[in-house]
Amino acid sequence: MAHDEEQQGKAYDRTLVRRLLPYLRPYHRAILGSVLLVPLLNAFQLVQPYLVKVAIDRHIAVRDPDGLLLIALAFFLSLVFEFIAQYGNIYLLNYTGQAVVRDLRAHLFDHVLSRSSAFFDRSPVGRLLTRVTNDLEGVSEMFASGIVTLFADLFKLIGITAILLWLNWRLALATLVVAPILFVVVERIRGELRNGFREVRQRTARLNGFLAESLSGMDIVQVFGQEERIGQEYARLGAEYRDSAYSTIKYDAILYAVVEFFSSVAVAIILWYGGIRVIAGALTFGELVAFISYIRMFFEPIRDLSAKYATMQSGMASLERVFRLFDESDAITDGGTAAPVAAGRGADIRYDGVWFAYHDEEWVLKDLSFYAAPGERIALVGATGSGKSTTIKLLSRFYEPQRGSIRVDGVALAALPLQALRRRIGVVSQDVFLFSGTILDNVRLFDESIPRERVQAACEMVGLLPMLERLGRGLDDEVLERGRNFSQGQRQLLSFARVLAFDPDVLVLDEATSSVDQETEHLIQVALEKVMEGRTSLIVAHRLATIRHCDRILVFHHGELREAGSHDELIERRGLYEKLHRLQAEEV
Amino acid sequence: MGPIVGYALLLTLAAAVQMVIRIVSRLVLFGAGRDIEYDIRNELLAHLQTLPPSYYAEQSTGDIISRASNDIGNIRLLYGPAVLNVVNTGFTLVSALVMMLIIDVRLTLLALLPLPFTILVIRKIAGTMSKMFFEVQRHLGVLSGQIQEVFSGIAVVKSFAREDWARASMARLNQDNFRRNVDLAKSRGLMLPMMGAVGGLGTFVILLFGGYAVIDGRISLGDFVAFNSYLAMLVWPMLALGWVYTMLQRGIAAAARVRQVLEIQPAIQVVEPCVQLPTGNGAIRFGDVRSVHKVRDGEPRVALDDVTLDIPAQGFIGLTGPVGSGKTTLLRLLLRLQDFDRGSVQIDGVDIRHIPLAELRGAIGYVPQEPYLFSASIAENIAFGRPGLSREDIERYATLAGLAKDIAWLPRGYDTVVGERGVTLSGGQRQRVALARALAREPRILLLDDALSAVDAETEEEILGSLQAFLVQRTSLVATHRLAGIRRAQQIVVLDHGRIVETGTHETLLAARGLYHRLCARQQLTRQLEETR
Repeated sequence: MAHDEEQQGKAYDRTLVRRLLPYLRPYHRAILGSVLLVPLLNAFQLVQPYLVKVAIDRHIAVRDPDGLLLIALAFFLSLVFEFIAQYGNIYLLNYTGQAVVRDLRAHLFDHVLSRSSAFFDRSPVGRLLTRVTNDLEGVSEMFASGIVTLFADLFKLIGITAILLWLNWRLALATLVVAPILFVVVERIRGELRNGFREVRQRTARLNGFLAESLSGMDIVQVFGQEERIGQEYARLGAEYRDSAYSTIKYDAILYAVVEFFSSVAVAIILWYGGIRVIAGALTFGELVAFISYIRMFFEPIRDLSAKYATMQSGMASLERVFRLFDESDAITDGGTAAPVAAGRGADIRYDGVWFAYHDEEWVLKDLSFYAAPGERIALVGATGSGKSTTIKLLSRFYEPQRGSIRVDGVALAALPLQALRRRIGVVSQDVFLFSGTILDNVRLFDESIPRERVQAACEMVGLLPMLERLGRGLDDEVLERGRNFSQGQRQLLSFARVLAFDPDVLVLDEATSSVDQETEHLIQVALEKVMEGRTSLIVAHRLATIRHCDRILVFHHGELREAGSHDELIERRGLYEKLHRLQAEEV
Repeated sequence: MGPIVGYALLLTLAAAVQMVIRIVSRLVLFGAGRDIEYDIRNELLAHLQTLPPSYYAEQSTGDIISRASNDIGNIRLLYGPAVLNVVNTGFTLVSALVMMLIIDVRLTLLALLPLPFTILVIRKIAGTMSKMFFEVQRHLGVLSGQIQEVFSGIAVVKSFAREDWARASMARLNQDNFRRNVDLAKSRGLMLPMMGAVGGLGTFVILLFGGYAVIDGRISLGDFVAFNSYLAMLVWPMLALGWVYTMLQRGIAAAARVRQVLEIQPAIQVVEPCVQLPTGNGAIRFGDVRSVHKVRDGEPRVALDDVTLDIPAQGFIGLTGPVGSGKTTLLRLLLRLQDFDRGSVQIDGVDIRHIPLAELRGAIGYVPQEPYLFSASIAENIAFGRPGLSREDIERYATLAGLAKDIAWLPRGYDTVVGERGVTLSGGQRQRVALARALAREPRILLLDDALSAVDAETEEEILGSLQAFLVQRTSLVATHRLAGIRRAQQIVVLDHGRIVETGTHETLLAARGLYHRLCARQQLTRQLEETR
């Protein structure tokens, strides 16, 4: 298995954050709100130890009850405001995070959706799915507990430092002597944590990709009795994932414990140095108490930093891979602006010196040229792998030829808007993919502008009606995931109805009739005649019954167009086609 | 001054010990959480592997993956961080409380006054929260399912330019997901301030009543400060408790979702007494078999009925019939991918329901209608059922399946990795890889389910020719629409609407002038039309 995502680039936090900014912009009000709440919140929090100090120094220590009630009430009020500010802050952060994730998800989904077929050929669905779901969940967690809170914590640290210096600068400096050492330690562990979490996420993707594949091919796994081996491979990937998680646990534990240790050392310094100064009378008792409270508050966010950092790093790691997916740029460029031709029936198609390879220079098509007049029916025949399927894939611009050009109605494909181009082409592929939904949904592909009657008519045309009646609820019968409750033939028929419902100018059929039984094929042959009526048709087929409907036959061999002409002409030529035909005729 | 230095040193020493304990306890507990996650994950897959295709027909893969990753992740948090925090919190809570009670009982009770109230409120919030959380998780599964479907069916979406629909349907679920999460945040956001308020209110009470107590001379100033410190010690565990509570709720909801999967009884199990498959050459007997296809919220459909069929060992049997006539069901019954509701199926004299699944399936080679290939090299795919197969053997089976020439064209030959669903290969090539994969098992019985439908006539002819020698020693059932492929079969079974309507050889069936005759006649007609043109 290829792990092309392992080579991590040097997209650093700052770049990531910069790329995230456009997603934050629409929610600047909510963000501003939460940012404004931060100093308020901090003020309410930081005033509390000070109120305690005043209560001790002015009332409790000197046994003066007057005004103590007032200070207690002020303390209570600060609690209430703290509650409100904190709740507001959390809510706004969560709201923003969820909104950003929603937008990112929509954008990422859209991005994936507009990639070329080559992209989908090499990207397992499981991995793409992880990007769009799990990774983005990680990003939302980062918002809920990470980014802005970190910034809020910084506020708090500065505030506390200022208050400490103001209360007693000597004691403050003596206490904060541990801070530089602490920052060095945190800085060192930071890198390890980031790498660790990055690895964890990567391995999660691999694990889930493997699971997705195993689930999709579960019946094959079971039939071939490979449950144990698949289980072992899954366990191996799971162990890799777990091991990388172990390393994050290690650094996380060290960070947390070290911060706690320094917090205690700071308190010890206050006790020692501050104690001496209280005895010497240079410090009040209330100040000493307030100092200890503040220093606890000082280390609290640094201690949380470990947990928040973990969330944030995993969020950043997710974000990094999300943006990496954004960076995969092999889209089919859709800069076409040529006006779509008025929906006249049929289109002319011209392939001119087309060369195409899926990889490097392994040419699948070599110098292919042909012309199809409007309404002409062309059959593409040839042995497996001769290039006929590729030829029609190029027409829908699923792939772009390396050399040569393809024109529809005289306009190069790249000059046409992609959607408009594809709307003109009706494709029946070898593998019929069905979505969850009803038969109606699957025939019109959830396009409600196509009326039910037209779907009904399309089903009737391909002879699906008797089958639908047998199902019970007709068009409203459910197709379960990927149409697993339908036979191959039924699915094939549905895909024909699909094309009919969309009523395109061009019909492209790829060996679709091959797996349909005689009776069904007979129905299709009848329908096909109607479907091709007035449409330019390119049909990949090896059934002569289908070919018989066509005006011209193109014979492919090893990526080259070897013969072209009508059935009779080609038979007379006694070449490749005649040989293929002879084999076919011997079948019965 | 002396004792103060001593206290400071003692505090530092205690902190150092604490640091070591913290590191070790986290390593142990969080590590255990990871181990548990690993075990549950493996257990889940092991269980999933016992569930038959009918389960996968109804359950979206995206949803299962979301359970295996998100939910199990939440269970892990339950075991690691949650346990650590509960222990930590409990210990701090008890020791701080004891110290507070020693100083002043009345003050302690006053300080803790807000606690019961807060607990009540939190329980209420948490109740709604857990329900909402379950919904959020379930909904994320739905969203994943939708996204997965679109990505899997990307070719169709693009062919028909249905990107707008894909976007719109995703946007709707996405927005829904957003809304649910924000709703959840509304209650979840209360937890942290709420827990913080408990500590704050306690301090407020101490400041007021403790302050008066000092002024009245009931407690010393030192006691007052110590009391305050103990209370401060309580605040963090309280906050942690709120966090743990969230994790607990999530973990429980997640565990319920994982349990849902684990509790599904495999619909297909070995019936006691368990019997070994005797040596034999693959004689098969279907006795009055009826199989009903049950569909979620739909009428059950009879897939097969009254099927009685004797297939001699080493026989070559053709199966044909219109679409949906039950050919595939018949083959899948033998593999027990699907079960029957009445009658019996025997292989070499033993009812297949008594044969251990691995043994039964080990005796059968199966090539399905739609070949599924794994993201691995062609060689690995061929050797899928027999890991460790030598390269020579792999090449031999590939040759038998008529694949060797195609592979010669590939730049990396047998080491060519095929895409997730074998996308870089043509349909016909994929079918032949699947055929080679089945042949490599050297099965007693070979089942071909329209296995060469995407292969052109010329290649099919070659493959069938080269397979003859291989098939002679085995029983083979070939379901197909191409009658030429089964013309030489010893027996041809014609199915229609789940029932056997005709059996016989090509000649006797033609003479019977039934469905088979009609199917043949149509093929002949087609040929005549072609020839007259």
